[in-house]
Amino acid sequence: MVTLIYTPAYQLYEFSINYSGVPEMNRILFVTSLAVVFLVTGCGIKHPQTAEEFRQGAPSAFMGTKESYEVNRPFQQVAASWKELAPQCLDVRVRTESSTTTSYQVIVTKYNPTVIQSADRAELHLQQLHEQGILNVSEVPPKGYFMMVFDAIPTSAGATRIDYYGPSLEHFDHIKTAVRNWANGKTGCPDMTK
Amino acid sequence: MMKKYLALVITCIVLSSGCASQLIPYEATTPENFELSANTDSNVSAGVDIYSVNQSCELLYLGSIDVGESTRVTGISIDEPAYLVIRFSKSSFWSAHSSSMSQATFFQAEKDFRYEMNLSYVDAIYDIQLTKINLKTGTASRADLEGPVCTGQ
Repeated sequence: MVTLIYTPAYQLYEFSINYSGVPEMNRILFVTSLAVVFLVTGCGIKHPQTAEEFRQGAPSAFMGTKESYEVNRPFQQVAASWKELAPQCLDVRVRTESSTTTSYQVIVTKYNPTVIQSADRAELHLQQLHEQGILNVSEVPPKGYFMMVFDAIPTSAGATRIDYYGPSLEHFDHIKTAVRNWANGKTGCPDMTK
Repeated sequence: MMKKYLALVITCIVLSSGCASQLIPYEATTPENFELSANTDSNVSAGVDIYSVNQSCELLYLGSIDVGESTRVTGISIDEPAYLVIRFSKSSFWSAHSSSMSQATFFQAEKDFRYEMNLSYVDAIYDIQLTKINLKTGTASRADLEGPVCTGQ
């Protein structure tokens, strides 16, 4: 029911989900599966192995998209916020349990954020590594399948453009919103158990 | 018939006690220095589990505070670190789905300071803001949630 996770970079997190309804579980699995599968070109041939491959594939993929917006905040501040908040909020492990009268299933997913900054670009990658309960059908990148990629690019001294690559599903809007909030100087973490 | 009825009642009591929460209300033994408030979606409840941390880094569960709509005020010892587990529990009336998530932090209360913790969970984004107020100067500043104070945790 409950699992304790220690994230060396920051804190101890504890996440648990308890599903006792099959339809609800199916919905979650369906959405999660779609998020992983939507970038598979063809039928399970190959998942993107790098952020650049993910950028190339996401806009034209099924239920994938590229979105861009601008925030009125200097690039360095946007990058600093991402570097501070991404490890705090996204470096988590989620354990999902589902049980019915005839089945019992545990899925453990580790989310791995990476922030890379250069002089004129910051990148936030979010990857998900299924540690238990999911059969990986293709080669898994070291930190898990790419789920989302955000790029921050300075457009002027006080403004930064954000490019988002990832699922278009509403289910993940809270993650996109949180990252956008960080870019705008706000705090708050997305609930990765949603 | 009476025996069957009695057995049913006993069964219900046993089952209900087994399902009851293990959380016990936190009762402060120190002066009030910690204020808790919450702003959450209607299907989300917020709470804090409070542990003491001894010199061996062992945690002792002291109790829990459920934060409703009104602000709660309590006391946390300044003599030793505390370990706070902040919980957000979600439930849905229409489905059997329930979930909870929590974030833990070490916390060291200081003399002559008062703390205000605001817990927020809105549209699947949560935030925990901790403000420390110097009682002598009246100045307020943001206090960071702390990582482990004990190595090897």
